[in-house]
Amino acid sequence: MTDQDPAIDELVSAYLDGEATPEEVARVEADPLLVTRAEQLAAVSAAIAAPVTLDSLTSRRLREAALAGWDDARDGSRRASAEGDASAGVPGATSTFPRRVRQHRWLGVAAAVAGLVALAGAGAVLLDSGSEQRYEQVSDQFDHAATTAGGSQEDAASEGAATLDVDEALTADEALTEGLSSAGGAGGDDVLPDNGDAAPDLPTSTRPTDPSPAGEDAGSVDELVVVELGAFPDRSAAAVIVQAEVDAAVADTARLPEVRSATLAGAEGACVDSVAGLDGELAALVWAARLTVAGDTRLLLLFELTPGAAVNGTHRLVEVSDGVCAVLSTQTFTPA
Amino acid sequence: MAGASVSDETLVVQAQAGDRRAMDQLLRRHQDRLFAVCRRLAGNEADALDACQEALIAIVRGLDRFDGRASFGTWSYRVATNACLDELRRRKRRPDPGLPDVEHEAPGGAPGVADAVSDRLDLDAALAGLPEEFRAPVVLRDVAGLDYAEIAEVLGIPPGTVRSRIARGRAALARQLTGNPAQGSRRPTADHD
Repeated sequence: MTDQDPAIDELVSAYLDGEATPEEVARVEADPLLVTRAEQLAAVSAAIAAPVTLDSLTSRRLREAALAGWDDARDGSRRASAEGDASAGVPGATSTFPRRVRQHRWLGVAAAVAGLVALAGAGAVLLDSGSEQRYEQVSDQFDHAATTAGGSQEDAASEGAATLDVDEALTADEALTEGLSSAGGAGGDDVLPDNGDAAPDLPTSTRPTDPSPAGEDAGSVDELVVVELGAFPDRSAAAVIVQAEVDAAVADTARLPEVRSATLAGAEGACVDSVAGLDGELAALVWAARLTVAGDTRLLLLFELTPGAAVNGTHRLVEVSDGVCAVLSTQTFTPA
Repeated sequence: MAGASVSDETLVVQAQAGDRRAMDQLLRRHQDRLFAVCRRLAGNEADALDACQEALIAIVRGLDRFDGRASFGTWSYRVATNACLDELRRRKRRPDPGLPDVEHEAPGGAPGVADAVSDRLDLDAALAGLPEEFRAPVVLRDVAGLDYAEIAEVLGIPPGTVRSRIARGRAALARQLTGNPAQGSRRPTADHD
C-alpha cells in the first residue's frame, strides 16, 4: 500500500461514514484507487466495531455499583436537605464510592445458601460416620465455603468462585440469621405457583407481627421461597438435609413470611437446562430458593455436578435474574 | 414499571424523580455500548471495567443535570468518554506516544487489511498507541455509531476536526495493522483545524 494523502483519507473516511457530500461520494465511487482505500479503512472500522462482550455477572455488578452510588447520593441529598445543607441536590457532592465494584448485601444471602450447601455436606458426613474429627474437617470446609463466597470479582473469574468483598461479606450464618430475622412485610401472593401435588410442602411460618417495610433495608430478605424440585425426581440426600436446615431455621425464628413448594418453569427451567449442560457436566438441581431483597427478586439454584455425591462432589450455586443464569460459586466437598 | 418499550426520555424523567427501577433500566439498556466504548478506549479488559464503573457512577450521579437537549445516549457517551479518559489519565498507563513498532509476518504474500485486523491483540496495541485525541473520535464513531456532529458535541471540538481526526486515526491504524514498518512508525500529529 502506498502512502496515502491525508486529504484522500479524509475524503474516503467521510465517505464511509456517510458524511461526504454528493460530489465527494461521486468522486470516490468513480476512482478505483479510492474505492480500494475505502475498503481498507472499512476493514479497520469493522475491527474496531467488533462486539465486545460483558458477562452477565460482571454486568450486573457494574450496574449495582452504580445504583449503590445513586442510592447513596440520593440518601445524602435527602439528609443534606433535611439539615438545610446548601449543597443538597448537587450530584456528586455527597459521597464517594469504592473504586471496585461493590456487591450488595443480598449476596450475603447467597453466601448463606452456599453455607447451607456446606452444612448439607457436614450433615451428610455426620450421618455417615458420626466422627467428630470429620465433623471438624467439614466445618472447616464450611468456613472456607463461607469465606470463598466473598472474594473479588477477579477471583471469581479466575477460580470460578463468586465472592463478596471481605470487608462487606457476611459470614454464611450471619447472613442467614440476618436474612431470616429481618424478613417480613412481603406477602405470599406473588410467590412461585404452588403445584399442589409436589413433594411434601415445607411448613408455612408465622407472619411477623411487626414486619419491616419491604425494601427499607437492602440487606434484608423480603421473602424467601424454597422451590420444590418436582421436575427433578432424583433428589439427593443433600436436598433433604438442606431443607431440614431451612425447616429448623424457620421453626426457630418464625420470621419467614412464606415458605412453600413450587416448581421451576419457563425461563428458569431453561436456565436449569443450560447450566446443567455446561461443559458437558452432568448436573442435578438439588435445592433452590427465591429471594426477594428490597423488592428485587432473584432465584438461587444449587446444582450437584456429580449427582448422588452430596459430600464427595462439586456443587455450583447459580443465580437467575431476568432469565439470565450466572454462576455464583463452585465448591467441592471432599471426604476426610 | 420500567419496561422494554419505554423510551429513554420517559425513563430519564422517572429516574430523575427517584425511580430506581427506571435508573436500572436505563443502565441495562446502555451499559453494553458504554462498556464497549470504554473497552476500546482503554485497550484492555481490566482498565475498561474500572473505567466503565467510573463512567456508570458518573452517569447516575450526573443524571439530575441531564436537561434533555441531547439524547440520553449521546449525553451518556459524553459522560462515559470523559470518565473513561479521566480514569485512564489518572492511571497514567497510557503507552508511550507513538504507535508501537509491531512487525507482522505476511504468510503467503502481502497481508490484507481484513486479515490483519482480525487479530484482537494487534488491534488493542494499535488503538492503545493512538493518541487520545484520535482514538476517542474513532471509537465514538465506530463503536458508538455517533455521527460527526454528535462526536463534536461529546468531545467539544468542531465537526471538521472530528472528520480529520477520524480519518487520520483510521489511516494510522491501517498502517499499523497492515504491518508496514516504514509507515507503522508514523503517527498522526496535532491537527491544525
